[in-house]
Amino acid sequence: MAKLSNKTIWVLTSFVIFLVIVAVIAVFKYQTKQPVNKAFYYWQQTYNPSLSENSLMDTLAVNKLYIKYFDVVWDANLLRAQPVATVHFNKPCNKDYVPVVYITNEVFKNLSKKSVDSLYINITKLILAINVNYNPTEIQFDCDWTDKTTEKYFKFLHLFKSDKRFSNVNLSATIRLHQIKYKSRTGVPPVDRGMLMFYNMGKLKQIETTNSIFNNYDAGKYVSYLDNYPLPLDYALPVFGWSIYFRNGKSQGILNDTYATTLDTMAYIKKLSTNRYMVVKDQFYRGIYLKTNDLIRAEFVDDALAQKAAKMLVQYSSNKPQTVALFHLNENLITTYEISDFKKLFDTYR
Amino acid sequence: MKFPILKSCSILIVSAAIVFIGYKNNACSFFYDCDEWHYAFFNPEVIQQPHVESFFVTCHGLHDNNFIYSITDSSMAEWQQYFNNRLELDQLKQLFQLNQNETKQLAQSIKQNTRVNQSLSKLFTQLAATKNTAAIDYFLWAKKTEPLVQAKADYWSYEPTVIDTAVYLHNIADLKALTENTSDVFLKQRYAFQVLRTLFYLDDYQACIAFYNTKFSSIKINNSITARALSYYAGCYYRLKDYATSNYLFSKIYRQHPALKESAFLSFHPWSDSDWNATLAMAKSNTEKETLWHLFGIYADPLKGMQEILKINAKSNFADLLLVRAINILERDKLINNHEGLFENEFYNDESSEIKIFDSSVSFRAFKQDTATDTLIKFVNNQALQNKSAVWINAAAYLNWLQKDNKTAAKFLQMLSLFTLDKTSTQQYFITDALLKYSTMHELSKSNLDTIASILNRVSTDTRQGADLISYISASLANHYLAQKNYLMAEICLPNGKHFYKNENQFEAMLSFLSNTNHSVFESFYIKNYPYKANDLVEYKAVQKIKAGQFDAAINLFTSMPESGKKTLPGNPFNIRINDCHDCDHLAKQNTIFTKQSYCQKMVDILKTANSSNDSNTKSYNYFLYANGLYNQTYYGNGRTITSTFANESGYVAYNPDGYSIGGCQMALKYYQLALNFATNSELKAKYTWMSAKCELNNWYASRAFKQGEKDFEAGKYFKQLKTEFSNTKYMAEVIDECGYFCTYMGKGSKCIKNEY
Repeated sequence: MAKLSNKTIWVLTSFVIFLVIVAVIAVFKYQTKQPVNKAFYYWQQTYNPSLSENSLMDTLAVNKLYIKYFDVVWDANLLRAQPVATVHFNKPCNKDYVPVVYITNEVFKNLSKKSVDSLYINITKLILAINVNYNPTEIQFDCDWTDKTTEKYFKFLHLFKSDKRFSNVNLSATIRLHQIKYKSRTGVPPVDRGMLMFYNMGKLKQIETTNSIFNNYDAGKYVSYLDNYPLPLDYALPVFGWSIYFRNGKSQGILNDTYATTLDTMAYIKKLSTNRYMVVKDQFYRGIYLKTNDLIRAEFVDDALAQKAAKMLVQYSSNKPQTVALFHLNENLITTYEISDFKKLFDTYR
Repeated sequence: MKFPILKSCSILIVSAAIVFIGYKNNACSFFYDCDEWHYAFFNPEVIQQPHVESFFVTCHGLHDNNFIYSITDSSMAEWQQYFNNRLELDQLKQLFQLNQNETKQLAQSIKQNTRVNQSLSKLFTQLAATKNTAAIDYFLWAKKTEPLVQAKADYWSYEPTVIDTAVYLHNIADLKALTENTSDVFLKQRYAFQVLRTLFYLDDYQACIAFYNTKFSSIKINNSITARALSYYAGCYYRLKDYATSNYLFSKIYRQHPALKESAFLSFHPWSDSDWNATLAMAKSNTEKETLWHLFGIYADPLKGMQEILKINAKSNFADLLLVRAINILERDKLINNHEGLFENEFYNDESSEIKIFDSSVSFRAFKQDTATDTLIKFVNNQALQNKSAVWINAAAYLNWLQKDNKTAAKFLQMLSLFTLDKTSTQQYFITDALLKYSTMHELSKSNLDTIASILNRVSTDTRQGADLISYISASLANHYLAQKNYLMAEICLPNGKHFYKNENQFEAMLSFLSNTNHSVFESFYIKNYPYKANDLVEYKAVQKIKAGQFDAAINLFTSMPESGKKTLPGNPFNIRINDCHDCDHLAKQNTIFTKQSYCQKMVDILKTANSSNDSNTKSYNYFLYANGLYNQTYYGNGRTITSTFANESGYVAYNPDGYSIGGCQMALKYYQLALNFATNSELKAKYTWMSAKCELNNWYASRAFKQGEKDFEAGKYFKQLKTEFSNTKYMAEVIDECGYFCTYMGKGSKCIKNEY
């Protein structure tokens, strides 16, 4: 074999070193860019996704759902916690899904500390009854707790963590922005992961608010606290809307299924600006009595706003979510958003 | 992106509604009920219509939801009458509560005259005596329907309720036949009711409606079943979303059947203008129209409701409830007290959450261009002048005060003064009068304040309105006094002694003020309601002397105020045990009951005896008694009440920085040591050493060295002394038996008693 020249050896060596460097970089990038789970929240009482909903999930390669099993509310007449809106599966869910139980803060306000144990027994009994042939790897509790209910809610979560029946089940809890900012007051729940609900941050009941679901200004008050939060976080982003009506400057309630597009077509409703309307004649509207001079604020998170929300989290936090979930899946998303809108949202976290 | 109309998504909305309700009522249960977020000065009971009180304004929906029980009571009364009172109420209730099988067995036993369980024997006897097998058969049928209509017993169960529709359809056929063939009208109606009920719960609303129209309505008997059947009939229309008809029918139930008034209202649900107008068109008489507008007024707009009712009938009392509701709703907006802002979106509101004293000049929210309120008040004024009823004049007076039209308010009050009013209306008159006079008061002169106090003296605090009035005026006055730096009067008006009594000068000033017997009407009013009296303050001073061991000085203070120092002690403060047991001491028979004052006197006498005696035994014993007193007046003794005062009972901190301390065994220790020094035998010495050890241990508990959960006790100097010097004494043996700590210290391990604390 002919002896290689020094130049050739040098070139070959350089090339090998280059390949090694490229390989190392590729492996590093692969390891740090874990694919993020794409998820939706399913918040309807009957689990029965339509063809278009299923198609949407398939197109987006959504591999996870958060399905609300039931709410737990406080019955002020019977003085006890009760489940309501319990889910029924019209068809089995063929994806990995996380059972979610929403518990109102009022339950923990009214419950005695002693009764937390029996609440836990009832809730887990119902969860297991609904699970029947399904073994979830994660269960989530959704509660907008405050410092007054921290002790009881956390006791509830501790019970779950120490329950041998769920020793292989991860526990997650929804976290709202005020719980991030004021964690010294409200505490950090004893769970494995938090699901940051990056919406409903504005002052819903204040008439001046432009969009209480998401707006940069209110979000900006909280995002700087994200990196100090000691729980790993997943993110829930909003893809929904609603309307709130006001009388004499005071909020009165939510108008069901009422958006700017609905209000644009209603008689005796005058448009004042992009999302603000005024009632010009007393009238019944879907069971609610609107009075002349009532103001209505229509709120919606369009794709641009949803993108802003998604990017803000990336910009202000080094947290790497394992799951990004959109709230919430319903057939009208298909007609309201483009597929590319959803892809852009999920891709923000690639 | 497209923007089409989005379709319904009911669960999102339910959840959103839950979130919203959570927001809306977020503070409800924090500290204050949402009904307490505002002041309320207008008592809706002025309308004297107890049957509509459940519809008085509350943030919780309706006030009283026990209508279910009253319709059952009506039904039971009907059955008692039907049975000619041969069944007692308890037996009837028992019959109602039996399940299907139990009813079957009972019926069989009656028919075959066989024995029943002891628990049913009375029912059996009474029912059998009626000889009314037809009624028993009816109960059997009623029980067959129950499984269909009963709500799920276990809310936490996920099992679906399985209904065998075929069985119930078969039942319907039989029930219809029974309806047709039964000659007993009472039972006929009830069979027809069971048909309706079964059809309703099988979701066959059209058949239910048809049966009601063709059969039920022809049975001419008016009772609780009539009301309940009408409810199902109306419910059918509701389920079919024919709200026009259902609302009309529910209005009939509301008016004709008081027991179902609340449930009828809760089902009243106009959905759109078209169905509401259709409902109105169904009204056949003025009364029916008034009822509809009455319900409209509760549901949607009280002013419009009143306007429409009074157009139909100027003297209708259907408008009265709407009047008081309108006023109370206005109060909710205008008389915000300082609590709401604390809790609303607490974490999104970075303002200080410190409670500010209510200030009348800024508290009332005056809306700019509040035409709705103006319209309401004009309407009420006109009605008051036209119909001249006390209720409307009372309302007009108050509303005009609320809107700061004092002149018009005064005019209506003057009109009202000419009426002979019932108690509630009189109280309302006083309240409005007080508010008006207070609003027009420009300075806190003696005569102005005395005038206000004279009215307040006549206001009863048994009602919320009376209590709120006094609370509001007191808080406002306190604010004014604080601005003038008149802390004493601010404290008298609005007791907040937490800070007031920290200052010794203020303390003495209050004592002097309360001791004075010459007060104005205004001062007398507030002193009467002030929670503390001069003797409480004197007692406080005396207790500071007691804590310092200055019993003579304490006695002097008690003597200066005869009402002070008279509280009896629950146990003998001169007794002591190896192991403290306050309950034991309190339950033990006491030959002498001590008061704080007599305790002090006894202490003085004991010490004098001890100091002046030349006999060691006498000295020792008396020092021991003295030490016991000092011990028992500490936290660890049976006489904690010796040092309790108005301040520590209220959680206040008054002057004298040592306040209420949990240690303080030093004085007792000193005198146990004196007792020991003069003791003449080892048993007594052992005893006094043990008492010293207890003091030493208590001081350790009170010190920073003690950390809960780390060490239960610390064996100090006197533990050791007892062990080394008195191990041969019987007393020490008793201590080992009775005190687990000392026993453990002595190494007895598992043989030691575990004292329960």
